[in-house]
Amino acid sequence: MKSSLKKSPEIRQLVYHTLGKYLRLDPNALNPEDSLRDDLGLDSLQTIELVYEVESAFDLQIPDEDFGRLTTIGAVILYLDERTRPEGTSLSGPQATPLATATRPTPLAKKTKSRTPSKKSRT
Amino acid sequence: MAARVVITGLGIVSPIGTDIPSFWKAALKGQTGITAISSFGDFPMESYRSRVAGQVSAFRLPDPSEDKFSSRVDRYAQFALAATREAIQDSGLDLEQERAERIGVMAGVGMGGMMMGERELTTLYQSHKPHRVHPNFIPTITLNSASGILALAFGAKGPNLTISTACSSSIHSIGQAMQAIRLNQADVVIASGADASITPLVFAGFCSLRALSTKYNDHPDQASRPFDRGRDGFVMGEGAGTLILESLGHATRRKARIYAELVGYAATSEAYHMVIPREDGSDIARTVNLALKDAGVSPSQVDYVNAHATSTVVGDDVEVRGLRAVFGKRLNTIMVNATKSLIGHTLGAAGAIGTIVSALSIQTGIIHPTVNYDDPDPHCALPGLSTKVQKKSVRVGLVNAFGFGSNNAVLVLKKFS
Repeated sequence: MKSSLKKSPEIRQLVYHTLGKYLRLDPNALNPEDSLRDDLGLDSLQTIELVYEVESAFDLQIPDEDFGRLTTIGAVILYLDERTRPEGTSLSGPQATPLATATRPTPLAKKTKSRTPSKKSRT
Repeated sequence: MAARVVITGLGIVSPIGTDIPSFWKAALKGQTGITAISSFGDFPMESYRSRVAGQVSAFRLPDPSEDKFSSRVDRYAQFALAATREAIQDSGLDLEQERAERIGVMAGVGMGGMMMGERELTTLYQSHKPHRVHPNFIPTITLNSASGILALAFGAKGPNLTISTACSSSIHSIGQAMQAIRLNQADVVIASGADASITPLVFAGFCSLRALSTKYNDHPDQASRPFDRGRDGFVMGEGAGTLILESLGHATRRKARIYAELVGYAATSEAYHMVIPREDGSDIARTVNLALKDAGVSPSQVDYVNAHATSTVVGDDVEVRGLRAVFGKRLNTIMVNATKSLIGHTLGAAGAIGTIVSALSIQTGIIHPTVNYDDPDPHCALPGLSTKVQKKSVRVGLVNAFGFGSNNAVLVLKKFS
């Protein structure tokens, strides 16, 4: 991951800028290892909103199937680095996590650390 | 003692039938009304992530000589007018003989007049001519345009409310209609639910929310698959459903045919998240228990559930979790079906259509099949759900609806005796 980050400093910078603006945080306070859910406290709707901002900043569309890859800031940067390469390889991640297909809930008793309600949906 | 409330008339506009007989016939055959969206005018559909919906293609506006109101309102209210006209006719009510002040209207509406809303907005922004905004724009997009036009069309001068709780709107409208009769505010209430918002902007909004099915664009009839392992989001639908509710005394005096008795209602908030249900289903269970308590029946008496079942991974899971908390192992023996597998999610109409289905099942003892239940998801297993028609007497049925805004609502229907 790190080698790809070094190759694409402008992608990294734009991701940090976009995330910092959305999260209202100083981009310097963000780390590649930060988990969108567990460290930044994003629930599934907020993750979708963040992806929306990233799509806008990078002028591309991120399909539902790729949501599963976007777990950390570093993963987002890696994903965008690959998507924006001229020879860009198409990525297919594990199970998607948009609202329609958000991760299956776990019983409250077994709930893992989360600062906000995360990855659930109601329609 | 509060009046007992009975259902005496039904009317519907749906993707699989624009009247009760054609809808019920199609539902029992497991006919799906989910099709590809042909176009949004100039918008190429390829730019939408989801491209399927439950569209009402058979609907025709009535002749102006029969109905001077439909041409003045948005599509959703046109649906409500048509469904209500059928329901009143079905009920045998002679409105000329009724006291108008004792007839109420409760309409459940999720999105409202979005068709005209989007059209006028586009016109204004493109033309920059405010004076070209249509004079009927405000009366059309005001959210109570359906309940208002129903009152005008049918001369109902009793309590008139619009309830907007997203996807649970019309369970609330029926529940509040029941309460109005219980409180002796009305003898008859037209309880309706309607939505028709498969429009460029609303559809794009649900796409952006990543709430819609996207994997079955080439196989629209397979897109809505509640409780199936392959489900990947809900399918938008449109339509309307109307039920005529009456006090038992009023219905008995005029020797009305009674489909079922409406005996219980509960409305709660999870106070949790605008679009995400509480994951353990505890608030759904609480709502079901409150509705059963209101009905004066025990969980052991329930033998049918018309599930909310939108075909989202988590929504279906949580609903079953909530039902299992109430019924335990007995849930395996309760008949369940998912009307949205046939017609998609009609938003504000969904609860009314689910209640219509339940009333018909109580009356006929026939449960419509749930389609696309090809690979049952073990996480939300429902042995009582079938891809085939089930024939069994239904004495007590539940109708569930849950909506954005952290809303839950449940109705309890009972065979009339």
